Amino acid sequence: MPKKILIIDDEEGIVEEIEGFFRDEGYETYIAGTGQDGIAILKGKNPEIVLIDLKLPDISGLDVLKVAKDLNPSVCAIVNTGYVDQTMADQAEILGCDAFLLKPFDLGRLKQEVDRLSGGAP
Amino acid sequence: MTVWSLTLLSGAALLLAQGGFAFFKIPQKSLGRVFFLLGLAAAVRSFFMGAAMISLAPFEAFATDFFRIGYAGAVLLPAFYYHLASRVTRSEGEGFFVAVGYLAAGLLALSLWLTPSYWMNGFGSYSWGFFPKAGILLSWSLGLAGVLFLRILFLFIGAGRSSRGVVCARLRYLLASLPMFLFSYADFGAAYGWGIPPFGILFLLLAFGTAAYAVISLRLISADWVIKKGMLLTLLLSLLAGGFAGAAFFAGRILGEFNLPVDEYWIYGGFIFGAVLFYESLRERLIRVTDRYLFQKRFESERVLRDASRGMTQIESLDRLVKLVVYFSTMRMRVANAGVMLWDGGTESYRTACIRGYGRCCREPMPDEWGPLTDAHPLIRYLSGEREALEAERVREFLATGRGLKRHGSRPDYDFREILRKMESLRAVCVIPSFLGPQLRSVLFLGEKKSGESYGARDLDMLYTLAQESSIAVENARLYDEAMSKTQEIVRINQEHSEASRKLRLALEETEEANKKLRDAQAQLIHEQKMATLGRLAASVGHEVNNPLTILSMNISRMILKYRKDPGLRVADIADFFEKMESNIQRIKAVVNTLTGLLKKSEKGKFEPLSLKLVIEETLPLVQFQTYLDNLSGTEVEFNLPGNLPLIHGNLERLQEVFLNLFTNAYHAFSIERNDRRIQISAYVNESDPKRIHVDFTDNGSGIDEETVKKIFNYGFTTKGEGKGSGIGLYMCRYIIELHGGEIKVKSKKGEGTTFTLTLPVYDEGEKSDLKDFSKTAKA
Repeated sequence: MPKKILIIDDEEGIVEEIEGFFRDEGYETYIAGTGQDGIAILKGKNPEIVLIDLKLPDISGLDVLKVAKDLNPSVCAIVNTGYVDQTMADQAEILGCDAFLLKPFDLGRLKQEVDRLSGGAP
Repeated sequence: MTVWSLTLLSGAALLLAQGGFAFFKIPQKSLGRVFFLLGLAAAVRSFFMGAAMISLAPFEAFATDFFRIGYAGAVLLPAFYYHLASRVTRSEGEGFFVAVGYLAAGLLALSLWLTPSYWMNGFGSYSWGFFPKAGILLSWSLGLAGVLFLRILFLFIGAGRSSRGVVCARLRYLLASLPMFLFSYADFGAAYGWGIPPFGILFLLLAFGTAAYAVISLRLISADWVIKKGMLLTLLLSLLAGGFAGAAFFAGRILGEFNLPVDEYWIYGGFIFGAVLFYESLRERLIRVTDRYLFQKRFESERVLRDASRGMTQIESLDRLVKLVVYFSTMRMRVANAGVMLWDGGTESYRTACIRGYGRCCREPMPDEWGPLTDAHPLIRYLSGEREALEAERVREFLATGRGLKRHGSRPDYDFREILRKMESLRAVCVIPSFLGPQLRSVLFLGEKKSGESYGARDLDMLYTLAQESSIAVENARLYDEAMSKTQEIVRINQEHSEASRKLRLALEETEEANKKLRDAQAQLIHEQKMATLGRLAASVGHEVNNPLTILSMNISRMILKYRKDPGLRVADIADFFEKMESNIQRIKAVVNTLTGLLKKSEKGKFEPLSLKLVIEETLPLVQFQTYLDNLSGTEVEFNLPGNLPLIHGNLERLQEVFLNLFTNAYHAFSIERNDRRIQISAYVNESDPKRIHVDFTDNGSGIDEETVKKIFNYGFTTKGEGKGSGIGLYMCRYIIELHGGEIKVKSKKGEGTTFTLTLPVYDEGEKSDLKDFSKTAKA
């Protein structure tokens, strides 16, 4: 049973690339363009790994993170953002994010974090 | 003996003159009468003794009677003197004894004719060759004189103890005359066979002179002249006659023993020779002696008057003047105490200005008796009405006898008791008024002289003169004081004024300082706002650029992964990656284009208060980056931009564009080889036009020729090569500056450099509500 990974980002290109990458790796992938869509998938599919962009068109990525951790405290939450904002990083830390990535990041780095958190193989 | 006799005769004349003077001048008539009788007695004694001596040889019968009359004078003299003493000491109870004295002396005088027991054996049996031998009655007469003199002595001593001041001083002089009178009786020693030179007459003259001085001069009479002449003559006579008599005596005795034929006339001759020779110097010496001991007072007074007058002209303050007058009175005239009351127009009364010599009570507050005197007070009325100095002694005399004060026509009734009471309460012996016009301006109260002497008429004259003189000085000083107080008032107002203007200046400076701080704060705010804008811009740019960059990076990663899995990968398999990469690169490009487009389209940008200094200084790094690439670095840029320049009203980006253009032009004006490239930028405000800031932008580059200067701001005009310059830069500069309500001018000289002068209006807070916009921008 492959691990489920949810990618929440409003940037289509990024979502596409990450989804393609993880699908190729053998993960079961879900994508969401908005925070609400992401929360719906979190509730329905209960993914093991969730990748959250802090800047979303409807609600803050932090809210999504909070919901994800409330639903399943053991979920691997990786937060990423396009620009440095220490306050938001700190808040994400408090809410229990497992990794924090700054854009631009490459897929190798992302894979490294995912492997570290979920114990390798999909 | 002729000279001796002449001495006696002239002495008699002198005595008679002094007695007569006293008779007419002493205000107390009874005293004057007694004194005249005393003088008469002394004169009779002197005259008839002299007459007897002269007539001794030719008319012996006359000589006997002359002697009798002379002796009678000598016998009566003590009785008169006793009477005088009882008057002077005001011993009312002595009346009986005076009468007894007169009776005894009269009887003895009469007995000179009744009995032969005054003398025996005729004349010539004694050393002086003419004195009759003493009989029993002569001894009685002398005894009576002794008793009377003793009585007089007790009277004087008794009175001297209970009195002070003038009376005491008078008694001292009278007391001094007593032994002289006694010495004058030494003449009678010859009658007892004692070889005493008959100098008695000289002592009589001295004694009478002293008594006359005591009685006359210590009254308010200018007797100085008479007394002085009398004393001088007496002393001269004494010395001449004494000297002659002594010389004749010793010549007769000593030369006689050696049986030398010394004729009496030789002696006369020699003596007259000596007298003629030494008379002048002797007289002068005597004048000096009498002046020093008897008339010193007057000379002191004159000196005081001189000093005081000189002092008064130099005095400027009323307070000091009054103190000076009182000081002169107490210290120089040696008056025990003195005070001055001054007319005070405000209260219409006389207030005490200064007192001295009243011991502790002279300190503030003034004792009650020194309270103000009104016009209605008898003393003031008297002084105002009579315009003369007033002496307490005379008031006392007037109250006692109804005489003693001169009458000035119809004298109103003054309350002399009140006047005297006031003077006594102020311990004033004498009061000197001082007038300015009809108004009594000041009153000087003088206490007793420390010497105890009374004020002579000369003193009063002097003081009165001084007082009148001082009234002018007092008025001057009063006016001076008034002027001074006015001046001080003006000075005070001036000080207040300058203090106020100082405070105003201080407030202005503070305001200016606050303004400056406000301006600085605004500049800081603008700067911060700008930084914030830049930060936001950077963040959004970051976000816009980061996303495509991330995608690019991921695409590459995935391509690499694909290639690793399948090294035989064909380009067609990954063509979609390239397409995606292409589209993302386009995205980044678009962001950059948008940004530059944004900058170019900021024409309608906001006008806000700007610090020109910041605008210019922040433009430089952009220029330097550009010029670094053009290999023109190393140019020296000098800023002369005062920190207190007013803010201008403008658009940051547009102005930066202007300066960027000017910088670029300046850099391009340098040839690369030059190494002393310099750009100077100075901003200033002309005092004549505080509403405008001028900026001089000067380079020392190649300069521009006149033709070029004319066209330099034209659209599309350029000197740069094809493809290098657009010809728009300076045109835009002028456009932007004119948009700001300013102007731009150029001045140049070929080969020396170019100066662009910009004029920009100063930011005026009241002009537009730009601060509002500004705060909005700050919040955004």
